[in-house]
Amino acid sequence: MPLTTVDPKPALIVIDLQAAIAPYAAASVIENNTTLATAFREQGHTVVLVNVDGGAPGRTEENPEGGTHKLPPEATVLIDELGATDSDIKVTKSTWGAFGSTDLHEQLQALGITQVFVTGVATSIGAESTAREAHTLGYHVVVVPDAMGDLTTEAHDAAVSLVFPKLGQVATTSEVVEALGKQA
Amino acid sequence: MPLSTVDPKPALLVVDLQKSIVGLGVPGTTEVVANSARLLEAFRRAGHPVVLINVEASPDGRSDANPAGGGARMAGEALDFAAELGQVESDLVVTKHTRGAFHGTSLEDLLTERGVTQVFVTGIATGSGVEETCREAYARGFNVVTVTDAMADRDTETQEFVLTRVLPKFTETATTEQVLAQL
Repeated sequence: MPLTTVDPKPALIVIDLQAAIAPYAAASVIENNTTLATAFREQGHTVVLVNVDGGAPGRTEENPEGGTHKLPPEATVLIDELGATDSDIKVTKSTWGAFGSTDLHEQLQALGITQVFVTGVATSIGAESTAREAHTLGYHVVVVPDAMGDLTTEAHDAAVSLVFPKLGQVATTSEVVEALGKQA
Repeated sequence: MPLSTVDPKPALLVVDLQKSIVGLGVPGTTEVVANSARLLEAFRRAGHPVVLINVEASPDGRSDANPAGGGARMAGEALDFAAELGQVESDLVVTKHTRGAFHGTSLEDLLTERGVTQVFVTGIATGSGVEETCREAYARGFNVVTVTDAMADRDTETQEFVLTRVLPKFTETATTEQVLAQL
């Protein structure tokens, strides 16, 4: 199912393409994020660059003792390929989703944003939780799988096939770029 | 993997076991309701908070499954809880408007006021209301336990994948028997 609409006020949200995490993403994923960020900026649309400095403290099977496992500052630096500008919104999260532990919703509301395009890593963790939170908050959500990457193909594929179609529209980088061009 | 610890202040969250959802015929519904009822009884007896959660709406965003957007709305008896849950006056009730039970409700306040640090979650559907409520609880700093034989999803692939691959990342998983034994 294609992207049906680009709202007048969309925003791109790029998740966790930072020093400690971006190396897990394929080169094509980084390239697609660069392409999307450039296209959004060229149209005068909002770009949000998100990084993460730790996780939620709860005990889980993968983190049996619990604890936030804070990252050192050098691990949180956004990668150069994103070409961050002064007009980009930057938020640092301490949970999986970009809304729960930041003021991102307030910032997007102030700008009148109604639709968010989500990219980044990892597909099933930071990107999926951000897409879920955006859906819950009432945004129209577009997810761009060829601009996302995960630790395993299985996790990436499950998010794309089982989860995203229920909470957003799934599109490729080139479909998004084309749709943005038509809107202009 | 068994449950490591029961915190001094746990709570049980039963998600969307309301008549309109229990009546959908999702495979495993009978067992989910029965196991939830056993857990409810045990939590009530131990004096721990129990929260019955129902849903009256879904978000409006456009999706591949719903290209025109516009969420569902439910009201009236559709929201009543399944009789088997044996609802009592002291049960907390939260009505949610999205998939997760925390966003836009008083649930977090109800739990923190009572000093709750750990939530046990059951209900239908595994990949929707249950998973979303667990993700929200985890992001809000709670320890989350998912009760694997007390949740169901009509999509068998989703049920299997969420139980084995997704929930272990942000919860501890346990069976009803394991929870009852450790409570």
